[in-house]
Amino acid sequence: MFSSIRSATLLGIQGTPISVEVHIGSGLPGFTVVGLPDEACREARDRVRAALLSSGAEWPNKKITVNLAPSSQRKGGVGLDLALAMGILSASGQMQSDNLAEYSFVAELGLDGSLRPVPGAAPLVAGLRETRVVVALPNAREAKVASPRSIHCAATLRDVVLALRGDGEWLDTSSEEKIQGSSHIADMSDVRGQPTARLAAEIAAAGGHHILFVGSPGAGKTMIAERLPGLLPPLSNEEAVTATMIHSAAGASLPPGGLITFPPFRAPHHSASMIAMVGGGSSVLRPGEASLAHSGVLFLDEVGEFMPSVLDALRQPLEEGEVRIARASAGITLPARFLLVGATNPCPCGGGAPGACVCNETARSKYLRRLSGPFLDRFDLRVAVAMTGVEELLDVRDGEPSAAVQERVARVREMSLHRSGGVNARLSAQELDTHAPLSPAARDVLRRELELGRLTGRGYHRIRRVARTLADLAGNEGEIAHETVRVALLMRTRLHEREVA
Amino acid sequence: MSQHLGMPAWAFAAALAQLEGMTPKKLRIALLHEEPEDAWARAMFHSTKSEDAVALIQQCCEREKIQVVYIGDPAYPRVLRYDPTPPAVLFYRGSLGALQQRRIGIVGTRSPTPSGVYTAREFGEQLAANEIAVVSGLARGIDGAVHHGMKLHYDEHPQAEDGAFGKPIGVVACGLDVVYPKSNAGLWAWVGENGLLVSEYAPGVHPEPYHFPQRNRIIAALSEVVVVVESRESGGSMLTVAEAIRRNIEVFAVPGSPRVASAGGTNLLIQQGCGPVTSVDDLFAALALDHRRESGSSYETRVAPDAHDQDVLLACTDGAVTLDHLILALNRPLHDIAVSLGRLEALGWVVDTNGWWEALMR
Repeated sequence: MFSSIRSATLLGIQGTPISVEVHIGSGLPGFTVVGLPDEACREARDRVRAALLSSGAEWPNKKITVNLAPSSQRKGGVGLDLALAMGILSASGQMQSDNLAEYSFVAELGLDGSLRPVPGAAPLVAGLRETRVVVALPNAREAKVASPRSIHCAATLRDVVLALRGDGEWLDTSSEEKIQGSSHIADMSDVRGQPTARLAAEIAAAGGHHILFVGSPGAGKTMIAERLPGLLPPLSNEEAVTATMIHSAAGASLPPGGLITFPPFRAPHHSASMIAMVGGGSSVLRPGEASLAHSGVLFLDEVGEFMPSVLDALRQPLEEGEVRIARASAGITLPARFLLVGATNPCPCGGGAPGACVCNETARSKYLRRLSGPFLDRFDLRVAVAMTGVEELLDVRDGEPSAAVQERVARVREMSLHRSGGVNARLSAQELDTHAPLSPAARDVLRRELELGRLTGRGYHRIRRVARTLADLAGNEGEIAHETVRVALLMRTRLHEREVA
Repeated sequence: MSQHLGMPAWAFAAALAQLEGMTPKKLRIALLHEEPEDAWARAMFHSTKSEDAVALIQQCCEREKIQVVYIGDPAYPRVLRYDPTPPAVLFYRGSLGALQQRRIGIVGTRSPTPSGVYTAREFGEQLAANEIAVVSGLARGIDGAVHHGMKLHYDEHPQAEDGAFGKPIGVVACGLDVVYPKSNAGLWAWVGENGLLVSEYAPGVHPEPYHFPQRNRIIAALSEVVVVVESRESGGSMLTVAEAIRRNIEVFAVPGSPRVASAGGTNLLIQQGCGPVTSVDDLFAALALDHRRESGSSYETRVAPDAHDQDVLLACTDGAVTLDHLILALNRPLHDIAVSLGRLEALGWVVDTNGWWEALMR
């Protein structure tokens, strides 16, 4: 009259195994679920009952108690439906199977007894690695990313029972494997002109430097930002699995192969809430855009239009590469190491060149002030993007393709990995002294900028990091020349300029 | 009149100016033919307002160190007395003696290009050095820049005796204790201490949009010639120009590139017959002063860029350009351009505004 079935629930991007304990005893007929279920779990009662009846099983008219153990932890989501159904079948003696203990179940049930996919299948399965896991067919691909060998699929509850008894077969999932993902990232060769923005994008990709494009509407800020993931090297196996886990947990779409192999590109709208950006939520802690962009690009178009609190919430992930979310129910840490790309107009009218703008002074200074100083400071590269000239626009020759740039980027990334174990943007102040020594002339250039108050202490280090990447791109490993520092300074336009008068 | 013993006439004038519903025109009619005390008594005839208002404004002006002249006052500036629409009451800080100097009004847009700002600043600096007072509106942009330039000259010569330099004259559109724009607060105080800060509006009056055209007429009235440094085809500066023309005051304009929107107004003025101004010498000539005097700008103080940097400088001369433009136009490696720009900026030949580079030529 008792059974215990394994399943899992999601906490951030980690699946936690739980046991669904079902007890069927005498008493008034009823069905109770205990063990901190959320609303979706509680509703499972009705789904499971309908699914059992539709599958031709019998509903035990007895007192049914379900406990989700460990009972102190909140459980969310619909992935427990199938486990619940199996528990009731087993406890009521309608199904005997010796090997039931070897299986876990992660699927939602339809009222007709069909198995439905659940969000977060990959991390859920990862939490159940030592067992065989039964999932719905649409979840098969992402589940295999987490645990390639022990995934079983079925179409309906009835098929699951038959297969477990040995009277039926699991669905064949091999056809779902080995679909290689393909890149849909647009190519840099479409970009005409824009040498500065191109170079800035290359530096950003090579050194992991955050970048801000400032320019009038239609100048090509978005176009270049969208092509940035194509400059980054493809994800390593480990990065790919993590990215897939995050996307799966957030219920975001996955490529046909199940595994995310290309750097993700996330471009949330500027109305995004803080929770949408960094993750969180009341019952289920979902990863936000910052985590979805992990090992890829987070593009904030019209960055000034985002709520200031949302932008400031990004500061922690920018510094530490992860988001720590604390809630009354639980605290989780989500990876969030992304390349931040911002785009903004120079002013509300988008005028561009000085003297061309028709905004009044108040509106203009208010516009740039929306970006807090500390936030602006985190962009290593800040580039003015001007409209491409007519000649360049009409030029039929393609620009340099992404693949060529990617090759240089990969070389620099390898150099910096050898040198410091990470990208140049994450060199610490001490590492800068050893890995990016300045030539005397370069030191003089920076001293002048510091003396004029045009460079902050933080800006000084950022310029040196960008200069390191620039030198790496040029193939110079040693001291940084003053020319390189000059270029780095050009790539970090001062905004927030005080009025000259 | 005798019942108001103890209260100065200017306090009544100030109180009248502060009355609700009072307009410059009504005030002028009231004060042109009557003493302020009588005008006040007439205004108060149907009112319950007492003389408290007079005492209050008297205290307020004394506390804020604001002085008051009215149109019947012997101290009232002669330049304004014969104006078609004189301000009947003037609140001021500093000294009316500043009006004894030769006076040039310099106005312009609130959103200038860097080169406009530098031009205005340079004019201010050199007019200060040549004992010519500069009338302006203390607004953002050109107005602020020209007085800022004068301040630079004063700061460079802290030991000079009073009256050795041209005085700044600021005409503002709100009460003298209400600083607008806030960003010019320092300049505002400096003008009050070293020149003349004047307003038609009583202390505590906030700037309203319709105050500015009124203020502009006083700028025109106080100037012997008016110079527009940069202006769009419509805007406050053009209103000042209209007021100046109404008073037969000659108007000059600094020509700009036809590609720059904020030079549209000045170029239009030149097309319509205003004299072009490209250096301070032109201003001396406009005031019929000896234009051969040694003005600071008659020779170039900056170190000439070498031939290598000259190309880069030339590429920045036709309005502001971005780095893209330089890379494509010069066909030189980026680090080379970067070094040239660095050198040119250090020597003061180019300026960078949010990534746009512009040459500063004379």
